Amino acid sequence: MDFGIQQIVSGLAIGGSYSLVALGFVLTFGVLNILNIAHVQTIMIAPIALALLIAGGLAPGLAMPLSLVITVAFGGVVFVVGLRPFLAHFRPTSNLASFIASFGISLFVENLVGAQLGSDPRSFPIPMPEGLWRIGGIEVVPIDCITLAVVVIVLVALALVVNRTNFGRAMRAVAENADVAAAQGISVERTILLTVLSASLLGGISGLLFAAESYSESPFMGFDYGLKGLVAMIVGGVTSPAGAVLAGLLLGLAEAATEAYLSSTFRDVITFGLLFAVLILRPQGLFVGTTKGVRP
Amino acid sequence: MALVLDGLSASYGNANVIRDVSLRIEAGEICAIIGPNGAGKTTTLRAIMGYLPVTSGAIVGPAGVRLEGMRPHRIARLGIAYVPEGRGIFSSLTVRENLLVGATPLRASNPAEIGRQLESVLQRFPILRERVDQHAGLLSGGQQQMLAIGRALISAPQVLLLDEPSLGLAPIVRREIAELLCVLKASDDLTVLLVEQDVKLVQRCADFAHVLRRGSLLPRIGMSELADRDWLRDAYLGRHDGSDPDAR
Repeated sequence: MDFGIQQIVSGLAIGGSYSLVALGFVLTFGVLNILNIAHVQTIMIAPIALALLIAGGLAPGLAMPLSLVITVAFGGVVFVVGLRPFLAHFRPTSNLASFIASFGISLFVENLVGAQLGSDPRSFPIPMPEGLWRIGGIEVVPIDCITLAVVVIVLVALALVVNRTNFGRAMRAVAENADVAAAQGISVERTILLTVLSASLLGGISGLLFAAESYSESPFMGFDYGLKGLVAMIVGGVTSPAGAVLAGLLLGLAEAATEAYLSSTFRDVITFGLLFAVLILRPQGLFVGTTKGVRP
Repeated sequence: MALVLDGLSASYGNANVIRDVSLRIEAGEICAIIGPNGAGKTTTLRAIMGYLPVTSGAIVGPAGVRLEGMRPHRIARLGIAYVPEGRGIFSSLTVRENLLVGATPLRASNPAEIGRQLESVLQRFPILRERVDQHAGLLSGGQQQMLAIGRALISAPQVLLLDEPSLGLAPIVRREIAELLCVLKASDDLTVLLVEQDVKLVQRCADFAHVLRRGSLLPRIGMSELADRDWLRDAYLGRHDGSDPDAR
């Protein structure tokens, strides 16, 4: 029984981290209308930056927020220097070209970091609590609890920002109709940049959580975890933030169950099996159709 | 003077859509642009709003500011509000959120005013107050039009560009829109440039009108010429160039 609950907690934890990645994709896709694959590298940059900062002597309490700042800056620079000029030139004619460009930028970043720092995985620089914690009579893995707590806090904060702030309204307005949003006085360019920065923060946080959970990090971890987040985004309905969260959790639970009751070699099979099943049976996504309002 | 177009030409790519368009609207006036489909009426509004490049000519806004080359969000912040064809409300946002987005220009200039302006719009459009927390996509066409206009008015603009507000709406709603425009003309210093196909609506509230035909703007006419259906038909069809109101 305990084992089952541990699996559920573990599944929700990793699933919650997938949700953060997926949300980064959803937010950027909403305002930009392209899938920005370069986003997956924010998952990698945060733990790598953390390792370098701690190796340089910085205390973990300072290194963690600083690694997130570096990740956000990285996301912004890659967008402004790499993707945005490309979009300005090619977007009127081809979304596919923009997507491929973002893919190329992603590979470039990954290999640049790998070349500079070595491609071997290294361990997460901050020791995690060992053993099991006892919470409410249940034994759970500490990092899973920490991850869940962080994910919940981030999701609540994000929901507040998206639904209650001027920036959140601007993001939703631009996602629905950028031309009309501009006529209301909203700077579409600035809204897009802020959205990319927000997505980078989400990616960075998820990267730290992934690296802590597996106790390892590598310059090539971006694609591995990022792809799972992308699957969650698609399964959730591409444009739906709530769908992305639910699909991420579902994916995490499915993976945990597969690892526990089948074998860990089937874990990725389950992920992509779920993706194919959804694309064939309900291509609009599992959770679209439950959102309110009418999309034009 | 609130809005002047001086020899304005604009194009989509290589196709020159409007040529040498000139008009002048004083503060508090309502000017209508009428004309057949494809004449370039929407293009004119979009050119003023900065959505397409101006190939030649000038656009002078309130306080004499030159608008050519400016981006749409900057022009909006200068006090020019645009209600596009088809209303352009944000379906996935609530009525309140649509209005708050419309108040964006105020955020920079006068944030304390936003609450007051929101209240004022809800008072002017009771149906919006009733549905203030509903998603805008659930409103009827006429209600969406009121929301689009309310969203434009909330920032207390000096110039309002309205693109075919009556399109697709029932006669009773068209009357309401005409009455609203008359009230705006009387109460505020609001200057309105109205693109319309519904000549009756124009007659109810406009001060003067121009016919736009195939990218060219004919000289201004009063409401009596508008009432002359034969003259109007001939102007639309290009049988005269609009300079002589007695031409047939």
